[in-house]
Amino acid sequence: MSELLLKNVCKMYDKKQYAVRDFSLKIEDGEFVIFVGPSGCGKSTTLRMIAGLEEITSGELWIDHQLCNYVEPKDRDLSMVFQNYALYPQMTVYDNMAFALQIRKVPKKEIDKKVHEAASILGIEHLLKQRPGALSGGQKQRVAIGSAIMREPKAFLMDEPLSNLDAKLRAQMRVELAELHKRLGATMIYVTHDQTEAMTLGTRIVVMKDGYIQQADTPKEIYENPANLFVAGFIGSPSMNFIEGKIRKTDKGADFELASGETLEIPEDKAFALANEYRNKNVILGVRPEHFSTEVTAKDPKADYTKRTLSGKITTREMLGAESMFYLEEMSVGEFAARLPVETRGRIGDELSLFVDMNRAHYFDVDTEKNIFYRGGQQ
Amino acid sequence: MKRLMDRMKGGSAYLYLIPCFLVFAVFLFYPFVKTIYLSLFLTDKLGQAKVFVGLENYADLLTSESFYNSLFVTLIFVVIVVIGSMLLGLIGAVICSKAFPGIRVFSTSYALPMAIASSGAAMIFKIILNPTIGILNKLTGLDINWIADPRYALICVAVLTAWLNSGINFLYFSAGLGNIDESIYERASVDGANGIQKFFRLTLPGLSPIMFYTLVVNIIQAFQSFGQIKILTSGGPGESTNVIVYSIYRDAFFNYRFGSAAAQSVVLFLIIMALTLVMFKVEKKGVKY
Amino acid sequence: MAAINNTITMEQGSYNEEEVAKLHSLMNARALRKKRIRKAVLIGVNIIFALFMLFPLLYSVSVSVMPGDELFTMDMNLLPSHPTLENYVRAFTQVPLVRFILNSFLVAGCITLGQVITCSLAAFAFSFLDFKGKNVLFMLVMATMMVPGEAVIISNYLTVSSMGILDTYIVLILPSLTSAMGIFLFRQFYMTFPISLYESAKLDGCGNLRFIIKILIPLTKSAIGAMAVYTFINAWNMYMWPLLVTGSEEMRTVQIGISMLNSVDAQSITLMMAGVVAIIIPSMVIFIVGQKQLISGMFSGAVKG
Repeated sequence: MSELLLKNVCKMYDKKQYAVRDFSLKIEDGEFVIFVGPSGCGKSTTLRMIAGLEEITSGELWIDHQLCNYVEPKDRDLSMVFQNYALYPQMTVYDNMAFALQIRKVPKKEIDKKVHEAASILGIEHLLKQRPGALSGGQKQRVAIGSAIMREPKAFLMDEPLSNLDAKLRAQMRVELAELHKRLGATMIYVTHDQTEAMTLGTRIVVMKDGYIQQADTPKEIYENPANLFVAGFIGSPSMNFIEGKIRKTDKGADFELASGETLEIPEDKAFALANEYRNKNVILGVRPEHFSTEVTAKDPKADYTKRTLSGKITTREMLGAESMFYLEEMSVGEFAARLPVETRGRIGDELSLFVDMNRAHYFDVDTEKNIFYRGGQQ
Repeated sequence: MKRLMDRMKGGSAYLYLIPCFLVFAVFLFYPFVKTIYLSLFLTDKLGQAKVFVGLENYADLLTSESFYNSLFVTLIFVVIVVIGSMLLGLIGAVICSKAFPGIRVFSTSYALPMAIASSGAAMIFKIILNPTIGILNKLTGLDINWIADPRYALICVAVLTAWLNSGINFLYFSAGLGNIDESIYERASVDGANGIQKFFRLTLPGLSPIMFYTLVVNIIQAFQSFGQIKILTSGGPGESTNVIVYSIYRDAFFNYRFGSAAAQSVVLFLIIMALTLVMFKVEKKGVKY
Repeated sequence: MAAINNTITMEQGSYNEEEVAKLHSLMNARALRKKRIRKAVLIGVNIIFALFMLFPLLYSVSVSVMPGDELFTMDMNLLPSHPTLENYVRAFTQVPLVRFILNSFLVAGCITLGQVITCSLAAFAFSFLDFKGKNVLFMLVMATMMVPGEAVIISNYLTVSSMGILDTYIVLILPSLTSAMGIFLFRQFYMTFPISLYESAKLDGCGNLRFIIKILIPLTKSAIGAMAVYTFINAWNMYMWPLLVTGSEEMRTVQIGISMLNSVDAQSITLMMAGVVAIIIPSMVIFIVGQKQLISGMFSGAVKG
């Protein structure tokens, strides 16, 4: 396949409810694109529209420069892997995998060769004579993927394929899927609600909410340069801390003032812009848990950390191995999370002062919820 | 004293079983044994066992042409009934599987035959099949005396029974269809199957779990058909509809040969048992999910 | 532009906005038409099949309101030209139909009640209590489902005739006072309740019987409903047993009573149809009203497979 293009695609139910709005995206050959978002954001619906299982209310779907809105699913040359695997319960694994080719009257010998090839790639050769009922979740998933591989389609569509597996298996399958992608070099369009999965698997992530694309970019960009409040809070676990406060002009530039009166100094590069546009107005400050540090681990020796400190009372402390997750409470901020080295001292109830890496912090407009300093990435 | 109380408490569970087991004992276990007992005797008109004849009743049956005729007639009857009623039930279930306005009316109609008594239905069919004024002859332009013709009588009774039993089959198949996972049809769409392929490769196999159970229930029910035969044909004309059940009835209550009737009952029971066991064996072997 | 009418796709770059819009409206119209046709065909097929399946019933109603002389013509007479309720009037006056109906109601009602009681008690024991031989006894109950009626009906007749209870209500009700299917149904249902329900009642000092009456039965309403519908209809439709054990007119149930009307002259046929329709109606009504209950009750244990 050379390219798959969605142009202003919309899906509307009952002339009233929009499930997907104005979805535009270009997918190149070999990409691993992931649609991610909370339940009901329209990601599955979009995938199903690409597959042909849902009608496209308006907009265009172009696959390899052919308009495919009205092409039957079977003629779109796509394969789909379903969340509940959709294995044919009364057929053996072999027949399940062979089905699509049998329908197309491919010669038996060729089918046989392909089945064994796919089965060996996925390590399910010993299961070929079994029925789906006798398989475990992970095995079923492999059969589903194997069946999809058989047709060598233009693209693989996957609708939350790992959601029904337990955590350990999910992690294992993630690795296998990544390897499969590399090995086949195929285009994969993948839907999940799990942002970890999205971040680890995708070459490109499309974050969706309420039917709209919030941001479509590489994982790195989405993490470091979120377009709006939703994307910033959705991606990253535990999620970004959001603090609302006012911008105050100072001699040196600008400060971020909390409700309690505490201030955090805003770095030069952003201070002037903020002071001009948002003087005495509220903005939302976004700080990721890993951007807090203690005296010991503060990174930038030049910064004056007394002006970039946030203090709070420790409410919970989770041991994560080499690091600890601290949950603190501050009067005007409420609860916030900080990821610190495990050696950090502090028990529940103690006050802890943390340095905030204001260089890495994000600033969001209160009304539009957009990232004020968003560097418009690829869309 | 305490031990007695404990024993009573443990025993109290049995109290709750007494009502049902009492009925079972008197009207099922005891008569079952008694039937076997009777089958070894010649009886008087009151059904009292008089002369012990051992397996002579059975021997008589096995050499009786009438009995073989009954077996044969019953076999054909059961085959037609089972195939017919399952087909009708299946068709109804399939055309009623996707929602459309008014579906409730139709699904009720297809299930309705299960509420109709065999005797009532038989009387209606009697009128329909009447040679002179019956609507069947009028609609088809034929002039056949359906029930009085030994060639057609059995088919008529079988069709009637198939109609009666189609209701429950409709319910079973509808439930079976409902148990099929919808997403495999979507996958089949992407894989390239058309409607007919989906029906034969997904729907029908998807019904096979329920198919077996339905088959067993249908066969057992078909063997027990009585009311419609009594009313429509009384076993005739000329023994052409003398299924085993009717033959038992006739032998016992018209010929007062309770011993012979009992023997036939036992044979019938063994046939049904054997069929059921064979089917279970086949199911275990062939079907693994 | 003409090519668009024949294709469902087009090459990118070789189109303009107008052509795309035209394709959209064309395909949408086509899809809508297809959907409408599909629905019409589905409804059509159902109407035809339903008419075919309901034909005997519809015809019987038609005949039941036909005046006697209309029946005996050589012409096609699917529907009466002068419908009348005369046949029903005669059915109720010439034949003790009311008595038959009352008999059947009484018998079917008692059987239903009896089965509900005996089966729920037995199922209670099987699901909440522990006792020796529990599994064996349950298997025994299930085994009774395999015994065909004919194997025992003669002996049952002999038994009740020697008891001297022929031609009474008792003889009609007694053998059907319990059913393995009912026990199975209730047990399946009870198994979905947590044992803690029973245990906590016991701790509160609640006796078994009280538990059943006050707590269990109210919770089992849907299963009782399903079973009641099924049992009542089957009891109403009983034919062979009442045929054997009742002889007098006062004791006849509807099925037997109606079959006595079996004869061939016109007046009697329409009369007979009226009778048949009259006795089919109660079972049909109960079925229609209770079918949702019945179906969910029958299949609540998941379909056998």
